[in-house]
Amino acid sequence: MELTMRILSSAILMLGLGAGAAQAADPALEYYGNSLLCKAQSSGAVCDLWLEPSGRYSVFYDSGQKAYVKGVEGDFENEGRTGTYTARATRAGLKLCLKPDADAPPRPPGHSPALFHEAGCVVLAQHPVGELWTLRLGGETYRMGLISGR
Amino acid sequence: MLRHYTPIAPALLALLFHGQVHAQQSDPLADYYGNTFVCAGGLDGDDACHIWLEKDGSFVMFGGMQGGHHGHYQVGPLRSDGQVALCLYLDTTGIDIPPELEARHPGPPMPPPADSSAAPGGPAAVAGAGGAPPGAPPRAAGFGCDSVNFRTTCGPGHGKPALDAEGKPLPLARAIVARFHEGMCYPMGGQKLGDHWVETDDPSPSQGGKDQAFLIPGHR
Repeated sequence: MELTMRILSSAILMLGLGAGAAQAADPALEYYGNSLLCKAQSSGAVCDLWLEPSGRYSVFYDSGQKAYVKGVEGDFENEGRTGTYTARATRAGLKLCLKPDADAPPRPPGHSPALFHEAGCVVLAQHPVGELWTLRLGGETYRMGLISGR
Repeated sequence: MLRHYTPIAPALLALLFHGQVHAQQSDPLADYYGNTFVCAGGLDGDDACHIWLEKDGSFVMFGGMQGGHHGHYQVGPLRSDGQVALCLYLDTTGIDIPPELEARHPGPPMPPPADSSAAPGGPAAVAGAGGAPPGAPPRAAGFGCDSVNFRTTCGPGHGKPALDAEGKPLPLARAIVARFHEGMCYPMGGQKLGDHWVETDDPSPSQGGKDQAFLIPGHR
């Protein structure tokens, strides 16, 4: 009986350790339930990126300009995208690779470049929730911040 | 033996298929699921909100209100115009966005404090960017919205003030989120994917009481 209890305790402990390690190994953990915001300094366009533990993401844009709706294929001031991502911890930070859903259309002509819009990878330096930082990418400067909540 | 059952199987399949089609057609929101509802100002046509409605009762909404937010909705009774009243409830009261990361046009200019108890009205007006539209009635103190029996009415004397913990009026983008947290109901449904229409039964008098609406494919 005592042996059984010992084995059970060890098994429970190992399970707990395993779960803890798996959790610590998730490099995107801090992003779940929070919002990664960005603001392009040249255009004022803002984005809001959500990462889900399922490997899905959503990103929302406000172009910061008055792009009036012209029709169903309209040049919308606001735009959203969904897709799948992979995240990997690197020395430089979180390497985030995004793959938009196939049905997501290209960014309308005339709109400023937008972070996380096309398929590709971005390395995000590690910063605590609430801290702002600057990211320079593709000739654009972005102010960035992982903000608590959604 | 098999020959006896062969005609029954296709008949059953046909019945099943017919049932599915019928069920889909009877849901006035069928074309909304998995796609994007866009609302825009009835007068100025400005893109004001995007809603991703899901069949499970949840939605995501963004545009003019601090990025995206999750929410849930309730569907009211079918109306004579084939639409249903859809009441949208954001699951959040908003997030604290540093000014450096705020959108340039989070919404119409802030009304004076006495007028800041609520956003001005329907999806386009509530979430809209830009200034007061031409022809919009002047706002009176205490403008807000009430929802009763799946119908939201906005105007002077309606609703309660959207205030922060210190009792000060919330910034407009945050006030809009607070308003949708309380619940806002709009007529929706009955349209097909690719439709562009004008909704004239907007609860708000701003934007001429109208919204331009679009149903576009996918999540955009």
